[in-house]
Amino acid sequence: MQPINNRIIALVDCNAFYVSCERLFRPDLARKPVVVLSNNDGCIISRSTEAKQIGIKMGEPLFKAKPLIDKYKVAVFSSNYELYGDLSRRVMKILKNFTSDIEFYSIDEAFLDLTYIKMSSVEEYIANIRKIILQWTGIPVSIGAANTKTLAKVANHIAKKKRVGIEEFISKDQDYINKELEKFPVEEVWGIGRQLSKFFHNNNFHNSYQLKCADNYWVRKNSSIVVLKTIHELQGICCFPLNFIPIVRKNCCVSRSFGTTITDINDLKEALVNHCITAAERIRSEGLITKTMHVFIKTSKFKNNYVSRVQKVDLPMATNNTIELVNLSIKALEDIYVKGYYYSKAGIIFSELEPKDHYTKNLFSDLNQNLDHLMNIIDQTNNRFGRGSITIAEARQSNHFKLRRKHFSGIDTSFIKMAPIVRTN
Amino acid sequence: MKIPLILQKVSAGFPSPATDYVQDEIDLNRELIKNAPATFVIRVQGNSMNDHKIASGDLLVVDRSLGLSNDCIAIINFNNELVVKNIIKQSNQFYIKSRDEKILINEHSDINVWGIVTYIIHATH
Repeated sequence: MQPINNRIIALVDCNAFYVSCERLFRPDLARKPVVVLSNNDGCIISRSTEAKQIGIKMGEPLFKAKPLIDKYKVAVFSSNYELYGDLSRRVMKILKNFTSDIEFYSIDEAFLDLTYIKMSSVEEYIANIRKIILQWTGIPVSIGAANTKTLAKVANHIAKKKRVGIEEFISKDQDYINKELEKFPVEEVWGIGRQLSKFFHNNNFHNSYQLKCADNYWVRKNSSIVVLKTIHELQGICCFPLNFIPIVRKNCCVSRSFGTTITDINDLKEALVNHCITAAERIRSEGLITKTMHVFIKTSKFKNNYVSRVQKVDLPMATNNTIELVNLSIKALEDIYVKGYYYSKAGIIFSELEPKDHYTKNLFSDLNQNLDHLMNIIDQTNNRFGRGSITIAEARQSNHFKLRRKHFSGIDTSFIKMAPIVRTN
Repeated sequence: MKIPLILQKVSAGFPSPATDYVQDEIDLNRELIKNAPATFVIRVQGNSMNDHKIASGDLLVVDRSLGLSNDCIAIINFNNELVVKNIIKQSNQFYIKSRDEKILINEHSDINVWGIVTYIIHATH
């Protein structure tokens, strides 16, 4: 086994991932400003380089960016998580061809441990990964390689600014790395949040090279062990190993703000039931069951008479059955609903999730087998014919609850009815 | 029928003499998709590729990991739009071939190959 400080860790990060997905079937949008909006077309959550250059900010509400969007004819897309999920799976599948030591960090990022891969040059190797992902999926990625995750993040930032899209610290000497760290502000360092960077700025640590040289005892006394580890990582000593086991989620929350405020309990019910169905589908697809449910409704924080009400429901038996969960959520809503308020948001949280197979059977669990079977059939039908093909009567959708997707491309590369269309002439 | 596959089921009453020869069902995904992460299914609109057995509404299996070859069907980025075209090779150059013209593909022509069509799925009823 190689010494731990000689690891080769690469961070693969998709460039403006959602925008890149939308561009895949729209070659006319290459080199044009493009943005993708959050659920319900609220805020800007992904921007092409061109959109960044004209001054559109990350997280900015759509209406605020409207003048810039109109002026520069920016292409706007509603988020299409079906498409992004499929392309993410493809990218991750390709990465698995290179090494099985992968940490899938987020929808568009993965850490690769390349320590034991035979290669003549790290630079060539990561350049090849980048080339193959681009050719096979059309998604441009940046890759940074270094001895630790924290340094790989820094290398990745540098890679993003380079045309070739890659940067490696493995073959570079300390002087080179230190010069790069000097240019790298402390707030950009992985794991150093806004609060911590304030603290470091106040103590005259402005760039990551200064942070790297900080006195260990001083850091330990004035900050945390995690920061100390981060500093070691900047020095090239691996403290954050890769997480190969996918983290099983502990809770699942589905909520959304309404387009207009709601006063009637039946309207709230409709919204809540739809959230409940979505959340139940989600945990079923991950083979999980829930023991606890929270139902909440609230009015706008920015208006008078702010009210936020929550009801916790402990389930008699852990379940992922939509029908049971919907019934209980409606009861909870009836308990917390107060007439006369203008509600702006409703939601549901399942917590204490656990894998279904781990759950010990009890005397009554056989009773649920038929319901499980029903859920299976509903999920399969909806997979085949589209979400909501079979649903619960309470979930009938009146138009004001439908997800606002005014700029939806309508393409889903994992669903044949929504396959991209190409003309012959 | 454009897919050269025989989908024949064996009926069985008595213990079938074919039991020893039982294999898995035909898996069309495995047969039609060689490289899954690079393969996309795309629907065709328009009839100008009828000569190449592609009709409007057909589904194309498109592999992005393959390169051009003579007389292949490819999805290309032509004038900033994705289109299905027949590509031919003549004296080491690739051309888009349509009924009445040939268009050269090279670095200067601003035409990119998006993917190569490997199968055409055409519904017959």
